[in-house]
Amino acid sequence: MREFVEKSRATHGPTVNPALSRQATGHTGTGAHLGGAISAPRFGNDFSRIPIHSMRGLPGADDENQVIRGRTLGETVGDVARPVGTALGNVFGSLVGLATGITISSATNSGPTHGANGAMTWHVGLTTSGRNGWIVQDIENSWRAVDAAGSAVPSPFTPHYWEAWAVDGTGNVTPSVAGDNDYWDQPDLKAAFGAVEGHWATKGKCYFTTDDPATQGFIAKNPNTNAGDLLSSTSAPANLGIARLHRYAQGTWETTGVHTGSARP
Amino acid sequence: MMAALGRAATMTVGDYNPSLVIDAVNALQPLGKEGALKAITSCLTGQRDPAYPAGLLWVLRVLFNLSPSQGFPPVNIGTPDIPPPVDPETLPRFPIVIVNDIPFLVVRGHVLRGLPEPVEAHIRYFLDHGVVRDRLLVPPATLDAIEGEFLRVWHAAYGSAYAEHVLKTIRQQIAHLGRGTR
Repeated sequence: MREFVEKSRATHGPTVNPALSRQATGHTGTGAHLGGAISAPRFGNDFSRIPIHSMRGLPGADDENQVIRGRTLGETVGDVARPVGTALGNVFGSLVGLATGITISSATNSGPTHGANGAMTWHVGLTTSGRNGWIVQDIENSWRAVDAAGSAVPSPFTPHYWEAWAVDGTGNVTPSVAGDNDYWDQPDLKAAFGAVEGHWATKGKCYFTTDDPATQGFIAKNPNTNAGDLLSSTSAPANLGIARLHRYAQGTWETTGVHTGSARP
Repeated sequence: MMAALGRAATMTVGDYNPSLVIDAVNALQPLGKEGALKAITSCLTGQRDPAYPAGLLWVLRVLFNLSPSQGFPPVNIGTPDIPPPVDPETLPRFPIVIVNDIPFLVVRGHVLRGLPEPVEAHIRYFLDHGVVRDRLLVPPATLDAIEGEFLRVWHAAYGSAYAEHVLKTIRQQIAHLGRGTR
């Protein structure tokens, strides 16, 4: 069972936690993964024996999984990084759009609303300057939740899948429902799944392609994804190119029912 | 009639009240197939976000019968907390289960990262294949035995799986009936 900890980190000097290092680089922080690129002798000094981080600050090796103010350290890092990465990704996507002439943008029609116990509603319409093709959105979901007994609740989300909308010659994006192309909705997670507290996050990366998703294994009403009526697949399609729109939403809910989070754009 | 239909249309899955569906179905049944579908379609006219009228899906699934070979169209509005039964014929109207003329909704919500199926697709399906039920819904005067009746139907479809979860769900709905919250 996960240990829930409230702790102050203000009593220590400026350190880099190994979990942060792992989150940022995907490696352990010894520099070994760099194949000696950094730790090799330079300027007459050998830095290979000096750790990149200090172990001071948080004890133990499982720091990423400790819950601080409703979020694990890994989630906190992700929650901070997701908006920054999304913004940077969208700047890059805009530049790519300028170069290729194809852009994708979203307009919020309702929400985002973070309801009690993890409930969420966010409906958007999609527009693109692309014609006669498809918008494909790469969806990544993460989830951590426990029930009243403290046991992990299995995720109701498909961790990773792709979903698609058709774009006709005049730029109509279909299917749509009452002006919306994409719903990021979920019910009260305590009522529906018995999850009394936890954290969820969704990232979406939108691409424009002229390759028909139906020829790449996408099917409508796919029971293996959370895409509902859309064409979707759990296998990556080929030739997506560069993402032209980055989106995210995230939330943390507590046993009190309070649910906080963010979503953009 | 339109007021009853409107109340059923806008109720959320989490706040499902069988009384609202009973009222809407009993108002639509005398109109016959085309009249009822016309009324339901008019409920959608001009509809804009945010309210996806999931309640109309439940009204349609209660109002119409289908031949066993035809089957009810699956509801594609996201991933429900309880998956459909392995054998769809055991609960053909899933996620609606009618017991003693009470239409229970056996799921509490859907996770969606995509788009729900338009209600219009279901309207077209019932226009092509549906037969309006031949009598009004008349729930029993007493609800004392309803849980046992429901569990009998449930076990035939799922065995003991999700029984505790679904009982909590329908108890809320039975409470709506008991309070006459229409």
